Amino acid sequence: MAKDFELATFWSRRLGQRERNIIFILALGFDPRMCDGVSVLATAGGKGQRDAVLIEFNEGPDSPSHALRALVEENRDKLNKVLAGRGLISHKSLKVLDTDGRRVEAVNAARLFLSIAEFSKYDDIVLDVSAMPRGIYLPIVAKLLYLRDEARRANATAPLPSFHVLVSENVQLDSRIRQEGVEESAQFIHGFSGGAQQEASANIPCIWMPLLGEGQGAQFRIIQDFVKPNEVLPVLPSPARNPRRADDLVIEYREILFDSLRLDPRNFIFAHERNPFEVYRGLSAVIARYRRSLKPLGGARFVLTALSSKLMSLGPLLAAYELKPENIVGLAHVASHGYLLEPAKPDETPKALSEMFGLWLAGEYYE
Amino acid sequence: MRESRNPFRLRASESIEMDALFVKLFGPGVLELLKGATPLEGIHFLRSAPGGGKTTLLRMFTPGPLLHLHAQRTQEDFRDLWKGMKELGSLDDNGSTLLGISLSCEHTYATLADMEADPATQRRLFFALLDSRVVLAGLRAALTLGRREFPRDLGLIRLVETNGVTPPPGITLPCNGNELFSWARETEEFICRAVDSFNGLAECPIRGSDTLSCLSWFRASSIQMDGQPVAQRLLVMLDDVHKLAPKQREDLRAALTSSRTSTGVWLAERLQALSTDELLAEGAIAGRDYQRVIRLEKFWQEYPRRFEQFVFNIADLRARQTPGREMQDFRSCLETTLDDVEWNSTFERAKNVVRERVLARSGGRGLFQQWIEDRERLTGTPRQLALAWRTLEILVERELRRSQPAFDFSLDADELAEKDDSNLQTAAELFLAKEFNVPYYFGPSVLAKLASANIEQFLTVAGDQFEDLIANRLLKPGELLAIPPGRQEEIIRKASRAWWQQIPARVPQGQEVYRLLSAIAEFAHGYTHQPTAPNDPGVNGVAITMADRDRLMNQDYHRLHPSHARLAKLLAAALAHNLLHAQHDYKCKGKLFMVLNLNRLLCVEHLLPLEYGKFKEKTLDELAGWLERRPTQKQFVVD
Repeated sequence: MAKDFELATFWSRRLGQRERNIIFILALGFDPRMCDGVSVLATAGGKGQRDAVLIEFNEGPDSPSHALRALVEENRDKLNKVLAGRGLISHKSLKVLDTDGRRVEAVNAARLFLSIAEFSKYDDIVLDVSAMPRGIYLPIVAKLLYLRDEARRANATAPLPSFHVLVSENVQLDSRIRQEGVEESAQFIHGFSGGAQQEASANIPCIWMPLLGEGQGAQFRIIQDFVKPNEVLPVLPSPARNPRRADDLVIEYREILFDSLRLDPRNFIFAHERNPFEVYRGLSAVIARYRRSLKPLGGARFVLTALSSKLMSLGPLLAAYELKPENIVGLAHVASHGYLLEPAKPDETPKALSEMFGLWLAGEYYE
Repeated sequence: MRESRNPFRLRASESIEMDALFVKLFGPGVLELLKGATPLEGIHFLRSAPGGGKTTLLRMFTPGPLLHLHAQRTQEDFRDLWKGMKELGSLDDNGSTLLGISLSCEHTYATLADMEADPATQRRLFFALLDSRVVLAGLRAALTLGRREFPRDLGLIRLVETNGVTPPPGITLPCNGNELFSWARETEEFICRAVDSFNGLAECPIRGSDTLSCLSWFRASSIQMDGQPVAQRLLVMLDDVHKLAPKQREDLRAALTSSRTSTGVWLAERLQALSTDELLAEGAIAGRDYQRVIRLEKFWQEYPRRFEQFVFNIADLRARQTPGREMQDFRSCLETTLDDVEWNSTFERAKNVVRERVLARSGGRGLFQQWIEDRERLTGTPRQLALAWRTLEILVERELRRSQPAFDFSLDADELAEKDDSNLQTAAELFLAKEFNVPYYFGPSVLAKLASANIEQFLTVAGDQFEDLIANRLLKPGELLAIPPGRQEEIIRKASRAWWQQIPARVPQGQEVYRLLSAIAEFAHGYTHQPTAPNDPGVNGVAITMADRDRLMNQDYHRLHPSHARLAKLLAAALAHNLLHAQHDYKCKGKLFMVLNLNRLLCVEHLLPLEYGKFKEKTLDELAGWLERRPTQKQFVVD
């Protein structure tokens, strides 16, 4: 994992070694960070094709996000300029709502890419999740990892592309993006129900590990109702840039945690705010420990939820992906009907505060 | 698990793991909903907005709580519940006569509908999954009822053939519980794995069936333990039916209607499952195809006294759970009077101010002489006197604004007494509250009303009040636990504000719903707080004619009037979330109306009366127009 200057250096070196064809996958949205990742790579130099797959959401006529159309078009122009003369932009449409009004973005996101052969001419796949909602990027990351792993298992002779994820973090900007109309019920990210939904295993205890984030109380409640956990282990961001952040979150969630759930304070788990690999390691260790302890009683089921930043949310995904064959870890999530971008405060300088993180999830580094 | 500091924050259906505590906190009043029907037979729909109490009701009919209630039946605390459950036929002196299977429709089904497969395959897999889960939950429930351990004692169960119905492939009758469990587990596992895989349903070997077949072969008489049926009756309770895909919900309804099963089936669903048309027509089409449709909020709205009794029973049960707090009665902690020394000076000032205004307004004319003399003679507490002068002020305004002024003959005191009814007094109280900043929303009856017939809403506001009691106990040890009216109102206002603020996040198209409801509230405030107090005590909603309601349900009309189509959607969303209450076919001035009242907790923020029944008619154009701009002062018609 690298960020900002280190990330730029990493890509400069990597692209300078030999000619590399890269495909970016990014979503067209209103988020001003949408093109940050592409820009980093576009300025990193090197030879080779720089193509992009632009995912365009179809959120239906009632989405509040339509109010942000001007920003979306601004981002589209910016992307065209960044990639002008360097590569081709192809488009994939993602249907968010079914004809009966149900949200189907997660299952449709997992269907966007069907085979690793789609990437045969590329050396690197770079997925920028900065302008994507969780319900979309989590299934895409999982599907791309799966397609790559399947190809490896099938002993594919052709070299497989490396897979990277970019995420631009900006706490101030994130706090201005407000979810509008949270869905009534939660769902498991497609591919990650982890046996948590099976009636046959309903007597096996369910452990829920939500990564807490600011202003997500309603979502917490909805997912709790959905998961119906026997034990809750809230994950707090610590270490964090703001050392008081974990305390502030406990205060914000105190009513739910202590009055409603009657949580034992020893149940808190602490995970690094800015290192998803640390989060993954921490969650995996807890899962392993619970499995060991509860094995004599028939085992345990686990559900992970990211109510935190996008960067941290990759930790639960990696933990769930690793244990997918065992069908014991689910990823629960609740979508919203759309987003609103509150105006910036006069003293706010969003660009300056954005930090670009890059994660190398699969490729020669691990093989 | 730690003891709960504030038991009002526990949600009975999900957060209370122990059956013993669940039964202890269960308010028997809710069983009223089921009276007058044969609830354990046939198909019944239970519908409400979120937090209406459906899941809690369902849980009471499952084996754990039934066994616990039977064991505690002689205890005073459980007497009413025991009597109610016995009358419904779920228990007798020998134990539970009912095998209640509660099953959520939340998991897998909707995702199954999203998978790429032909509709016939989807339908067959849907019913196969539902069949397998009814059997799995049924086996677990049967063992609980027989006080056996799951899955260890599955071998003790036998499923026998009772009516010649052929079970699905993979089951040969008779069979034991282990064989049945294996069949159901495998079926579920195959379908869930296929749904969860990135390769889709192609890998699933299950063929499934075209209907909910288990109702014909998994019956009360055929599920046996020690050679005897485990229960006299079987009740399948499907919760969260609104989470099925619409097509699945439709298929399920059709399958149940055609099944003619002897097994009782309850389908609990939120109102959101209904289409815009169904929501706007609610009440008109209910009960068409089924034994009974129970609308929880509607039932409680019809019986407000029973609701008050019911929720305070729940409140008392919860208050007693708080360790170290000698509180038996939550109601008595909510002070109900403003005739306390604390408010005397405010009311004296109010009386003087209003009296001066009345004298000035009457201008020494003989018309109001007797009325004024009547008030001058009046004795009582400062609050009563202030109220009497404020009602007089309204009546004087009405007389002065009449289009045909009365002659200057003095109006007699009997006429004053006749006009000074409880509605007028409520309006006067509201006006005093606004002008002199005295509490209006306080006391147990108000707290029950503010719930707007929704249990969770009651527990939210009551929980806030209880929080204050806990704090008072710490801050003022030894003092009587009580919340004065001013503080009650402060807490209620905060809860009302929070309720408004949650609308954009909680409701689909929340911003627009918020805008529409705000406009209705602003209109109602402007209309109510006029000097003549028209439609006393005031309005907290609007009404459209039933003819307009029919237009909102007409798809062809929608195409011609897109702004009305948008309005229909928003009204439906507000109705589904209990933010508006609809009363259909309300007769007034020779016309039929659909009255739309605001949820009472929303009324507080705009200082509106909590009484339903009074309204002002609006056209569809006016309501649709409010989505673009606020109601103007001109629209507050003065009588």
